Amino acid sequence: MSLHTWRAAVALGASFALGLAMVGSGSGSGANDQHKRGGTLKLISAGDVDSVDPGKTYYSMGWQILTAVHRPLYSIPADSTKTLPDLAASLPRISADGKTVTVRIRPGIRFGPPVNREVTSADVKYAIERSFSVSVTNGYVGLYFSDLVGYPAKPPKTPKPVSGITTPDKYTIVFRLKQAGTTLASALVMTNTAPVPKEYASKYDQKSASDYAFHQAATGPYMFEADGSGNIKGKGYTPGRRMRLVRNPSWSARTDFRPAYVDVVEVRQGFTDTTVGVRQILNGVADAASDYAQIPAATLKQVVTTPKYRDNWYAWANGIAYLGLNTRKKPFDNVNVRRAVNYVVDKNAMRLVVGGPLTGPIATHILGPEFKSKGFEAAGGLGFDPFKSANFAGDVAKAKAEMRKAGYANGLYDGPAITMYTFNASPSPQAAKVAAASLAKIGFNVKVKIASPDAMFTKFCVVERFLPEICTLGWLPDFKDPVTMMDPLFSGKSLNPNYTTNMTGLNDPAVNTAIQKTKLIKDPDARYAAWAQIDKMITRLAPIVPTQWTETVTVISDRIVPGKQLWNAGLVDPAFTSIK
Amino acid sequence: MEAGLGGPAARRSRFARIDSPFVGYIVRRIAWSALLLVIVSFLTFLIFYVLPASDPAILRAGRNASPDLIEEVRASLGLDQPFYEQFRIYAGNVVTDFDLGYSYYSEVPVREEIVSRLPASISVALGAFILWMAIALPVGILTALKPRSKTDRVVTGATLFFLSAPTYWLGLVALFLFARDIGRFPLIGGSGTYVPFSDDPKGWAESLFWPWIVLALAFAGLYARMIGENLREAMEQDYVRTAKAKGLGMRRIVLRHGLRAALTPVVTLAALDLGLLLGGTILVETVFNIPGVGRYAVESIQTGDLPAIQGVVLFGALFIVLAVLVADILYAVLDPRVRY
Amino acid sequence: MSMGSDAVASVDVVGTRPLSLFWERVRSDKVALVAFAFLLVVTFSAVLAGPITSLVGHPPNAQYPDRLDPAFGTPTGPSSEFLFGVDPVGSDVFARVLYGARVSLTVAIVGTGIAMLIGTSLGIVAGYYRGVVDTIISRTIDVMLAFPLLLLALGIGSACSVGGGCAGGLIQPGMTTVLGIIVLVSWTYFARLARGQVLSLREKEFVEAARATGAGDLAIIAREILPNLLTPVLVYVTLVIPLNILLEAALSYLGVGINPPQASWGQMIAEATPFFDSAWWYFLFPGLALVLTVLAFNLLGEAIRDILDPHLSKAN
Repeated sequence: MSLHTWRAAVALGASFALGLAMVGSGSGSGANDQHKRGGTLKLISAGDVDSVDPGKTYYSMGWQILTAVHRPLYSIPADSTKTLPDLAASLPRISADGKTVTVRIRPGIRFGPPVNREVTSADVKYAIERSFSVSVTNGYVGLYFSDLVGYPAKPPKTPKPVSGITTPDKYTIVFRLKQAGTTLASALVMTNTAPVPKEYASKYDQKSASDYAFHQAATGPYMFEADGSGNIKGKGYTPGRRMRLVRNPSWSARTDFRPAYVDVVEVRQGFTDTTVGVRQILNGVADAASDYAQIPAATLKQVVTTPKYRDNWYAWANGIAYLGLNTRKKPFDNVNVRRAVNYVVDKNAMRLVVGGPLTGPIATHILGPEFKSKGFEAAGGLGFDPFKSANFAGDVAKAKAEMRKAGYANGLYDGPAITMYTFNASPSPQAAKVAAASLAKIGFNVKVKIASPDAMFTKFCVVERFLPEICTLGWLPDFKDPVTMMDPLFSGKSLNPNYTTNMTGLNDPAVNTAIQKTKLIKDPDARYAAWAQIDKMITRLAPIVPTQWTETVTVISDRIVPGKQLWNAGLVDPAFTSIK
Repeated sequence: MEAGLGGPAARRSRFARIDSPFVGYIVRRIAWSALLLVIVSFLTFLIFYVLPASDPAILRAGRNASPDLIEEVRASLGLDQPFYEQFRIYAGNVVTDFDLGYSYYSEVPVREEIVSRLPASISVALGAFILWMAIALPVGILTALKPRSKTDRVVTGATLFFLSAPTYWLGLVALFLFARDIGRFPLIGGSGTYVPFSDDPKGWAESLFWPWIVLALAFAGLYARMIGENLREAMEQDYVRTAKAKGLGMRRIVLRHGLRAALTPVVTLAALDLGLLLGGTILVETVFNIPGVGRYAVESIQTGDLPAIQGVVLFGALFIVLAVLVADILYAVLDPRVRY
Repeated sequence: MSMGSDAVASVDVVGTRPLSLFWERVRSDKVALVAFAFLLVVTFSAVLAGPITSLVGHPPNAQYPDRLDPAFGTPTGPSSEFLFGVDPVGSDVFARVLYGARVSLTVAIVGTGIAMLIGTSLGIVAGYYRGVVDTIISRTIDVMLAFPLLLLALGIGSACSVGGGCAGGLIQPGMTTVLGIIVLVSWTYFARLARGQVLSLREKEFVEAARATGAGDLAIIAREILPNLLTPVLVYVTLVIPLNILLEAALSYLGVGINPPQASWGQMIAEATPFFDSAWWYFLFPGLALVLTVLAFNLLGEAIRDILDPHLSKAN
């Protein structure tokens, strides 16, 4: 759907059908697709990256910047959803038994200053090995790389060789797995596969907390501005303040699909007031945001309804927002109570206080429109809604019926008060209030507790003994494969008393078996269809109340022709964006 | 007032000797201040150790880290050590190289984080201070010269109003009415537009305009009244009446005799208030989005970043203690009635 | 802001005045009367918030999503049905402002009251018995005053407003946390004051006389010292109450005070901040309520101070 139809529909107040309008095409730049070279791209952000160490970065902002500086084995270019070989020369070769993955890397790729030498497969091996160590502390290797032969049972303090990764020659790298599976091959897009020169990085990695991040060697078209010895602190990266990327002299355009139009990329951090940030972008002082803090509804309204800002924004689907119900705590250990909650929540009002239809379609199961042809349609698309209600406003009668099935005589809960945890950043507290009001209709007394995201994600919604009855959560897929949604959130294997991403505590044998079997299916279409079936299975068990398939609105200035990272919330890709 | 008549010679001999009680007083005050800082530091450590909001090991290990990794990080951060051991290490680092540890959140030395945000906070505090003194002095003198006048009432009323209004609310009202980009009557400045002085002096001043005014208003009125009252009292003293009888001009009387007496308590109070102000311009920085130490304090408390919290509290306490020290010394120097 | 407490503590206490004279003086001060009347209005609003809102408003926590912009969910402003407009979830701002008065008044009266009791008692003990006890209490006060107090309040509030609270669940997030912090931060003012007063009082003739007649310590304190403390303590109470109301508002503004859905003026201003340039009613009305209430307390306090002891207000 074109941008103009989208706006008209919004004005008519139509609801969920709009969700399909993933406005991915050029935002009104229309006929002028000619990209000019040169200039400075100015980005702003509220917070800082979690890290600029390619072995460690796990948040979208870090990925947005680092994919311009480092070349992982595979990556997805802007404005596309196809995975292309990046450092790799070709797609990975998987052996017949599925236990060996072989990748050939391109010859002639060079590290930037101060290393200035050709990249070999040993550099990729070291990069991955170092991401297993405590010195680097990577959060996702456990999910995607644990099937490697020789994967350390306990993370080593400093990088140690892993026997399952071998380099028969300087352009080949071989991964041997303990059991057949496709997860590792899909995960080769992660930035920890971007090469790191061992002889240069070791001295930094030997420290208890590696500071290679501040001395990193680049392989992409850009590098962090550094002094003579390669130190980027204060020049290319002042934590919490600014970043500055300049061209990498060792990069060759011939070997890369990245056009790298601009000469310099600058990021200014600390714009915690999103409204101020948006205004700066609309005024042309900045070009785009580097993270996607929720734009307040009032500002969103102003941007979307002002005609002259027509071409300054676009929305992109990314992730799911949901209420996690703790299946290991009364009363949500009872499936009927969970189904009642799914019936009663006024998802329409919740979406309204978050910002209205522009923030994304209302979710009715797990895999959303961003998994188009990767399971979304197979799971029933927008039509699959086991807990239907008129206009998504909730159906109190059906909810009460479920409560009666659970043993509550008049359909109303009569137990003690329950706790719901939510983030302290607007609009989360508002959404939580609406949810609490819905639950009150079937007798729940919900105490809404507010916590910072750090407290939520290091204590209250991840550590077993602190888990409340309900957490308002969201989840963004690490890459566009349903495994990144299902496994961490709903698999029994993700449960751990000290830290779990499976807040609901779902540990259903049928689901667990299905997940493990599906991870082994080699044919992509068959695999996606299988994931879709698991989606339906889990949705009927109702461990969560899916509320929205969230869409991020990105605001851009008039100055730029954006290249959008469709795999990363639609953030602007520095290596594909040009200045008009 | 007796010593004032005694003249400079008498004063010098009183303070100059190394074994004089005055020096002893200073030394004792400094020693007590140092001890105070240690106690404050210890108590902060204790409080935030016992009441943490988030788990620093998980924070550092990052999203989705494996439990083993988290335990390793916990060990490497020294978080599995007993409380007193952790404090001993921390205190040692502070004393020997002013090392305030590394932020759990950003892996950057806390000292660097605080020092880099210091200029912004100092800009806010000092600017407000200068502004409020600049308003308070003339207004105070005016109300002293014309007691019980309309000016006096207006000043009193305005003072009370601004003392009663929270700074963040006044800030919102100011922004709503006058911010350059969105105000109803666009004038100057806006939230989140802070730039360091070295980058753009004009922009720096513009972005601090409203923070200065909002902070200064309450204090200005207070100090104006204080100066006014003290001045009035001083002018009722006998020696002033003598000077008047002798025919000396009013202006000379006020400036020479009255002000000096009036300003003594004011100066010491100002030192205290400035110390407090520097200790944390938390609310102003929050509402105007100024990247100073105050806002850093709020952020670190919200993320449970213990080393950062420690650092900021220590820092604030340092300023307060210094201010009290300076105020006490000033008082001892200026007012000979103080016994030590 | 410093309170010039040293200056106050060194002033001689003149003595108490009969209550009738006091009220006559209050009545003649027009400003004080207006302030007092306003505070009565606030108190009634707080106490009768329920009946009032059922008459002219809506329940404070009820949500009316139809009052939000259907396309963007932004709140709408004052109307005949919603006198002060609605907040971002569609609740009646007027009702919430009325209920918010409860929080401010409770904090002011209960919190300051407890701080006064604890602080005064400790101050009396320190001043009367001197020696080790005095040293401990005085040094504790010094330490407390060396802390950047808002930071400390913020830190404790932050820790206690999460999860199950602190002190073994004794201090729960919300009202108890705020009261606890207020007591913690304010008791020092009263302690210092009481100590100073007792120090000068204990040398006075009437105390000597009482001791000579063999009266016990407790009797001396109760009969000779306490009555003379009444005035200065009362003066301090009028100073501290408005400060504490502002402290609670600041804590709620920074997110560590009163938790939703309970209404608090400071918390409403915080919620209104991201919307301030469009939903002006949501920061204006709670803010005005806050300013006017604190102002009324300040004005009333000024009047009381003027009456009780003119010297005190000057020295301050």
